[in-house]
Amino acid sequence: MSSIANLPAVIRNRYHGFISFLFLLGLWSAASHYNLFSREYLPTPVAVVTAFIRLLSSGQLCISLGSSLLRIIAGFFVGTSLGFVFGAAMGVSQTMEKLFAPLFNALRQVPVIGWIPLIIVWCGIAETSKITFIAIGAFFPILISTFEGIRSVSPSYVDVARVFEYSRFKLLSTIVLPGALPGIVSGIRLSMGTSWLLVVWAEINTRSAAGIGDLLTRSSEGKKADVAFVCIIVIGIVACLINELFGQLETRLSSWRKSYR
Amino acid sequence: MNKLISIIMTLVLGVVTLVTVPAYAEEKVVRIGFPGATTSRPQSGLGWGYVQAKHLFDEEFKKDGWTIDYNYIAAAGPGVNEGLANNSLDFGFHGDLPVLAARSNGLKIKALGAVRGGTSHLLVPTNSHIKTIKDLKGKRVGVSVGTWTHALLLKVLQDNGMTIKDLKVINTSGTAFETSLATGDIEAGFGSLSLIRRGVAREIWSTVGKHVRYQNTNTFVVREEFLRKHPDIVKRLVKVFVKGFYQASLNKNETLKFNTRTGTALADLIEENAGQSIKYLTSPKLDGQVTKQYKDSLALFKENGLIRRNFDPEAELYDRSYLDAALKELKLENHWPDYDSNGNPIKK
Amino acid sequence: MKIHVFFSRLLGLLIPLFLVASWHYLSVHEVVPTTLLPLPSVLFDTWWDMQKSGELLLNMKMSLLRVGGGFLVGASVGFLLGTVMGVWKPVELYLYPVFNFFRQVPVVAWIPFLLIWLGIGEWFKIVFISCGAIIPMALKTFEGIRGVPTSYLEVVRAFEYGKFRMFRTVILPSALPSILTGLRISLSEAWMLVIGAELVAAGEGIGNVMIIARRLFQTDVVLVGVVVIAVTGFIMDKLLDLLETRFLGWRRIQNVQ
Repeated sequence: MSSIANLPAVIRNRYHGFISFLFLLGLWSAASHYNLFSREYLPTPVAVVTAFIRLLSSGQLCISLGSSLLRIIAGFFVGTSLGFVFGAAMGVSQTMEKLFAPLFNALRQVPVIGWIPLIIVWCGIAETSKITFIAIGAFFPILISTFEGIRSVSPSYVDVARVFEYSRFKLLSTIVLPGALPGIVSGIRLSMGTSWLLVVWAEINTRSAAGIGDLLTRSSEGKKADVAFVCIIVIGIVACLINELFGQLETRLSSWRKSYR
Repeated sequence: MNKLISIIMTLVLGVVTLVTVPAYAEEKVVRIGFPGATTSRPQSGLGWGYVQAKHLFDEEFKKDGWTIDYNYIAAAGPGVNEGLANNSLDFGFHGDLPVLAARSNGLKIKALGAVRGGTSHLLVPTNSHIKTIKDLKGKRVGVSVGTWTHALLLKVLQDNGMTIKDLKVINTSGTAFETSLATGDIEAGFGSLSLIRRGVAREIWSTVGKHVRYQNTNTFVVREEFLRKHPDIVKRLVKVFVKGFYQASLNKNETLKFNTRTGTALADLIEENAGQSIKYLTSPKLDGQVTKQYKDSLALFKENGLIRRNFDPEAELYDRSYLDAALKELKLENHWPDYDSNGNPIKK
Repeated sequence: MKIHVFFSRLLGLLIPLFLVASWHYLSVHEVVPTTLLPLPSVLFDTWWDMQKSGELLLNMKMSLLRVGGGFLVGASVGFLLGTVMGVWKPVELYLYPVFNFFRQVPVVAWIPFLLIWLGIGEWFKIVFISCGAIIPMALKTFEGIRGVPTSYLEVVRAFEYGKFRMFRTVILPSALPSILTGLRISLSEAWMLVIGAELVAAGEGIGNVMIIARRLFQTDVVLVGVVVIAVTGFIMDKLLDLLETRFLGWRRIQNVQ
């Protein structure tokens, strides 16, 4: 134990996890080395790395990943901006809340994937349908978090602002929105995470152009387990990155809020 | 506060309108969609293959700035319907089930001509015990739902006194079908000769050499709105289509050769189309053969619950005026005879 | 007061009613083709026909069975995983990082891999749904156990409770709210994934009904499917909500006191 304690903190904190991952890798290598399963089912780690390099050097991986990310950005942008606007309106005004809450609550009950067949009929299988689908998925988390974020702003702050006779705009921009910001950012993180998995769903169900989901489906149709593995790992890493990135943003914003207080 | 909200709402509505109502710029593009080529897709439409290989449409429309946009729809006929419904396609061609299902559900399309020819094989894995169609009872059968092979399965089952309810239908197509056949998830289904050639499957029945009612008879359809807006374009398009089909009808081997571009080997094309005159295969006419097949299909689909509204195709679907005009203009009125429901020429 | 509540409820109906009315108007006047947006009344007829013919019930039964199986397996495994990680520190140290990576890989990414392994049959769907249900359950169980105040544990230690007794009487009840949340998320995840699994590879099931309808160009049936899965999801969530209130009633009373 003492030897572990001497390691730098970065490694020390990840020491056990690192061991587990190594163990998994060992297990995997052994299973494929002794041909426990056919290669078609379980590729060797070396085959996966080779497939990764091959996909990378042919540019296929970059093109797939790039087109998926472009779709996400478009869908995410449409979804979050609409979600933010509606969430803010409902948060600020009780009338708005009463008007829209039942509608959105009803629509929210549809599992996002359930929209796929309908969107295909409405928008076809080209880009529009993929972006619409992602937008729907990104819409709800941000709607709810914006709404709740605004509602969580302490009424006493608002009262104080009223005493100082803040204008509506000033009240919104200096009290309400900053107060709701951490909530909104966590909504953005959720939206982004959802978008990432929805783009894969969209691409699996509407295959018209390149994308990481399309690459994934192709790999399973062609029984290329090595490519499938590469895709799974890449999708996982991107998901982790998104989570990490927006998580950082979230902590930074809430710590700012604390000091602000 | 209310002012702010109303401003926000107006903005949102503005954005929504901008997003949902695409600007209809008058683009000079004709968008044609047809079932996309996948490895196990049965080939269809010999005349069409010729027209496309020769770029006849592109040549005709190049001079006045119209471009032809070919869309290979992987979801086959049903995908073509969706394209026509949501305005991403103007023309399409597909088999009896997709066309009739679309029209029955109210899709505003008109059939301008026929695109004949299309064979398929009822396949089982090479090591399967299934020998006849009757053996399919209770088996998991892969069906590309909504396509002409779905209709074909109904017809074949009907001949054997069975219905689709006697099988376990699994919706699948393309490479997924092939994979599932190999893994045993699917025990039978319609596919192409190439699967037999590659040793993946063996056939227990095929349309080759059978009555014409089993063969794929596509129709070339146009969106009614496009027809209303651009009758002149439709007229010219049909003319090129007829001209191309005429050229294709002159030399069978030549036409088959052009059709290898779809990825089917020449030997396979020759085998699949043996015993059928190229004249029949390239006839664009909506004659007795087409109308009888579609009428029978309609009844069969209604019986099986694939369509819910019966309709008269003569009144709602066929529009022969463009085809007749083109035939007249090209002096080809007598080139193709009308075929009866058995595929025999009707002597005048 | 009652009148006030009534009117505020009415306000909420305003937008949906307006939407349905404009939907009806748009369809009747064919501004939007009925092929894309069937009349609301047609939708109702379609639903009734599907109900009468038993088609809907049969397929719902299939989907619900799959959800049941996948959820049961997934939630139990998730609970066990969360518990061992929560109770034994060494397990947490070694397992949590791996779990933390895998939980971030969207379940959908496993589809091709599972298809290669299990084909498109029933096993694929059950395993796929379980994979999705494990994660929230494990995470929430783990978090719940971690969240047990250390003071509780110290008190219990002073009484020299056995490990199992400690788990049963202190840790589990205290982690229960979080576990129940996990259960709810798990179930809604399972319900979504069954639709997804049926869209990808299906024999029967409500997702399959939608795909078949899509291919036969029956938009009304697709729309009915959307409504049906929404309502079913809602009912399942409400059922778990009831369960939660039942189990956590004591907590609420405690809070009031």
